[in-house]
Amino acid sequence: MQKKQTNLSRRAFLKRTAALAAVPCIVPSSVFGRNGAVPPSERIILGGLGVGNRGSHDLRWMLPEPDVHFVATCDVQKSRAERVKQIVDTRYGNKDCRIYHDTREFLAERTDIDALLVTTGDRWHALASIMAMRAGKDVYSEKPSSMTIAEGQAVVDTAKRYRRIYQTGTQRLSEGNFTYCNEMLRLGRLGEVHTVRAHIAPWDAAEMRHDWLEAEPLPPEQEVDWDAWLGPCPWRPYNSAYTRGGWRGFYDFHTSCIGEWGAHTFAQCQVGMGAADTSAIEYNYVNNESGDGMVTKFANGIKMVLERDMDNKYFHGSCAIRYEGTKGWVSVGDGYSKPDVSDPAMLDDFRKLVYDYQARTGRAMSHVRNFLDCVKSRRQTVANPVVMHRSMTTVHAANICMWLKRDLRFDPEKEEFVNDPQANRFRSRAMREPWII
Amino acid sequence: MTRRQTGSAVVRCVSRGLYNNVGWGSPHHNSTDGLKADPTKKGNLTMSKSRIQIIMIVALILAGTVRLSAQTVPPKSDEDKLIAVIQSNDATHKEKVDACRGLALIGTKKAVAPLAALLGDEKLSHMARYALEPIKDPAVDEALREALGKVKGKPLVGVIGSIGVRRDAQAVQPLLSILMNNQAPPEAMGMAVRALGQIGTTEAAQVLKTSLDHAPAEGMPDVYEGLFRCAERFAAEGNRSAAIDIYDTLLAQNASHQVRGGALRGAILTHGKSAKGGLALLKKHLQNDDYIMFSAACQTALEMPDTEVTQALTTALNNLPADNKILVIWTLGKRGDPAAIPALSAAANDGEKSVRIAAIEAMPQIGHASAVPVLTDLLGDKDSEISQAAQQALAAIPSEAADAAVMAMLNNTQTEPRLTALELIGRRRMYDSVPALLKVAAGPDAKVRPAALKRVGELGGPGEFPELLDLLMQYESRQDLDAAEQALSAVCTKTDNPASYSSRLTSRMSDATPAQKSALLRVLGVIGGAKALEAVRDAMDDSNAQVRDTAVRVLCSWKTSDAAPNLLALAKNSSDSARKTAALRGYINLIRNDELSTEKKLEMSRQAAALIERNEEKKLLLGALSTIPSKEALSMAMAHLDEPATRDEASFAAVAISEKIVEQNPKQVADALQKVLKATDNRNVRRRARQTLDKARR
Repeated sequence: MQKKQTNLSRRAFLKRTAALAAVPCIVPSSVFGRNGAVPPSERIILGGLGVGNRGSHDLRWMLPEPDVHFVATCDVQKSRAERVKQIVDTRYGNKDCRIYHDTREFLAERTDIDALLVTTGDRWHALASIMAMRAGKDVYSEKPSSMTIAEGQAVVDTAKRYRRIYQTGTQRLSEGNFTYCNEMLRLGRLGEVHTVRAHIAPWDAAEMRHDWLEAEPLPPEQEVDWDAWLGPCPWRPYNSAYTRGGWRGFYDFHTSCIGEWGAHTFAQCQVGMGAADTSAIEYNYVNNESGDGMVTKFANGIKMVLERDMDNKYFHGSCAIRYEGTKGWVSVGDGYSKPDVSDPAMLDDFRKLVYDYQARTGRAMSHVRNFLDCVKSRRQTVANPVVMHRSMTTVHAANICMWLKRDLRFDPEKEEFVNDPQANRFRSRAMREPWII
Repeated sequence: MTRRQTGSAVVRCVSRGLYNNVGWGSPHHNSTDGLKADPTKKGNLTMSKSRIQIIMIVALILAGTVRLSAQTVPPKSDEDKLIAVIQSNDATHKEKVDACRGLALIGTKKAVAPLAALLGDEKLSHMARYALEPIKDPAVDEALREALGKVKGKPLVGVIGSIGVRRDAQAVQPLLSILMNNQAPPEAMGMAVRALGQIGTTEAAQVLKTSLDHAPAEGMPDVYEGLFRCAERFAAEGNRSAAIDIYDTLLAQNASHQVRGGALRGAILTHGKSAKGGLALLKKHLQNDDYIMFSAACQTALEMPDTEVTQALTTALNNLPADNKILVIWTLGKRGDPAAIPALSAAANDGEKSVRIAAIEAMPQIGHASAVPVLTDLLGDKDSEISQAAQQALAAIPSEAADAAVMAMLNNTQTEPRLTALELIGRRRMYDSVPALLKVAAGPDAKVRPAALKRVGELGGPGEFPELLDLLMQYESRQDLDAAEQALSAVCTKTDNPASYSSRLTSRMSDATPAQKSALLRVLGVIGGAKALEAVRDAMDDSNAQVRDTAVRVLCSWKTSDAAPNLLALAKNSSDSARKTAALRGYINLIRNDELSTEKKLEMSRQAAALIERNEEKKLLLGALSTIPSKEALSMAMAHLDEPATRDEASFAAVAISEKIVEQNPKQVADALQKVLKATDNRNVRRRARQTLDKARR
């Protein structure tokens, strides 16, 4: 169901006071985009923070939206910023996209920007989102969107405090196949659901590295600002491999194979089973490298099992989920034309369930569109801060369970491990100055 | 790394004086810390005694762990060893960093002083705090407070930050001293303000409020943030008046939109829904010309489920410009309170179109039956966008009242409402409507009958078969017959054994008109089976040309191989070239059938090849050949590689076959694929060909 455009004026989205200096430049719609069907006054002014490979993918979804105008990008790596500028300038047929190097300067200067695409890498997602929201921006942040439970809490608090709209990039929550599975569960079509299975990445391990790659000469700061790249993380010597994706597998920068896909699948499962505002309360340790087969339990009695599924017993696509109940099961992952079901007749109502969901929630079947609609309506996105934080808390707790090599119990009300000071030490990490959440 | 391997590594470490890259023991690049040149030995370095001690300590720690990553919690007994590392003059930077990581997991009060000693060290200050922050002992707070007066620069900023994280209420005065110190660097002052906010005591709040009059413009966001945190803490502790006081203070500031809007939200929610408090504030700002504050009020209303808030929103609707109305409508929809339906109904019926559509779309979000009448009325709106929006909205209202309204529309005397009802029945999946649908299908309205039959096919099951068959036998028009045929096919295929319906279909053939017979034949083609095939064969000799023609078409689309002999005969002997071609194509399509053996497939391929005249059928055969794992199939495919019209299909077939037979026939495959690589430009085919060629050559 296509969300209708409104005639809300551009001025309505100018969230500034007389104290602010910059005045946005309104230009005729014929200069923007390809069709100019949306009046300029309705455009959402968008910027980017740390837009690399994945971020460029998101950007390519956002740029075609008729009510988006991308104006600037900020990156500690010059080459990435230049690539984004090229993408944007090619889209608009001009050279107007500006490049920034320092996040604080960028946020202070660009008061005209309504929303930011934050795709900095896991270590920065929460902090950058918090900084952006403090500066009055709405945020679309890639996932995993937090490194610790404390970071996730801070994202939730900041979004509430400043009334910001925030979406984490768990885009399957806006896809028809996955939505159908969630609706089947919600409507009781599976009977009493007792088990859900969440796919975790078939590479890397839960345990991560602390060693340092061999030090290389620091590049000029204008090329790569290494200090800024590290941000809140413990200092280590520069090695270019980190900046080309080689940060994965390091404790300081990554959330392990569990977070890599669990950021998606745990969110999907928790939303599906009506546990979006809580986290698992029990985590049962498994003696393997990845957490494969770990059984977690929620207060509603449902078990969520982490599945690497190397022999394709449950899944035949990536980032998959499966819901099992007394009346049947459904399962879906990437690349499925339709969900797998225990009875083909279950798919008879596929279209109805998806259409009804859209009508009931007012949400588009597009993660980016949902975000943009919510920027205008100020309603919560489908993957809002609470969804992100609570599902990532389950991710973090599962990781901690593996690191401690024992079972854990968690209290979602107090957001701490029950009578477990040792586990609670992992709830936060001291940030390197001058960063703080 | 196993323990044995760890032990060997330790020996190597000790003998060479360097560390292997094993987690905590990772060397800092080019580090020769602790190694001194021995002037008597050219090119050799000797180690200091303390260095050796450090190596042994770390090695013992490493040897004691099963997994060599620092998030593995070391035994509590290792605390002293880790403290020794951080106190050592000979330990490398990396070693101390790793020791701090370990102390973050097991450190106690014992570790506080040694860690605190590092707080002024630019290189180690952060990791010292990394270890100190998680230690739940007031000694940490004392140490951090003490460090405030000693450390400078970046380490000071970090210490202040950690004080804030730990919410040390005793640090308020020392932090105030920093704020009062004109010499303090701006970053330290900013962090002090943030820390005060995290501490969130009454004393801290007072300091922050005072800062409002003194902080520079660039420092104000930190002051606002601090005040927000204090207010939130007060509200959580039940000290609402203190929280409201802060929010009112923030509201009075000439601050950025996020601060003003956030303060309004905080003030409304902390006041609560009282008429004089939160509700009054909400109502006031629902009329605010400042869109920021207006949208903040709407957004806050989303967090207030009370009916009084619904009333405030619906009342506000009357007096707002169109743009603002839409935001209120979106808010009402999301809140889901059925009390909003009357106001939404009014908005849906009159005014600007964008407002009307927003109101219509909000109703299914509330999902209440009270929306059904207005949506039903709007189905007849002369503006098609409005009527379409109403239809979509009504489709999604989950109530018996909506079903009843739809059924009432189905019984309308006018065609248009009945057609709309049929759309809605399909969209709503109204399975209970099937009996009514069959009645409509038997009724006098020719425009409605096909749509009704379509729904029966979608929603009905095998139980509808007899009535559908009877209906088909009554129809004369092509439209009705087609629709009945589709519906019959659909319900038949919902059983495990569709072919079991053959007898009932064939038993009606003798009474059927030619048009009806044709429809029956097409249904037989869908359900398949021996009896159905027999009936189709018989119909090929029917006296009526239309029936004969239909029978041939059905035969040519047959899905199972038992039709092959008839198709081959037709392809060979028919005097009608169109039928010959159709039969040949049907025959070739059967070659793909999985139940056929390879030999049978080859035999059929040879038969077909002998009859092919056109390139279209060559391509079809090449597609079928691609499913046959045999040398002969490969040869047959390769025979078409040099023809431009079939080159692509021949390449694809050759590659597909080769993939299946490469292990048994590497030489033939290699020969074929080398030719394919010369012939085709298709990237995917070339990639697959290269991969299989590699296998063949191995």
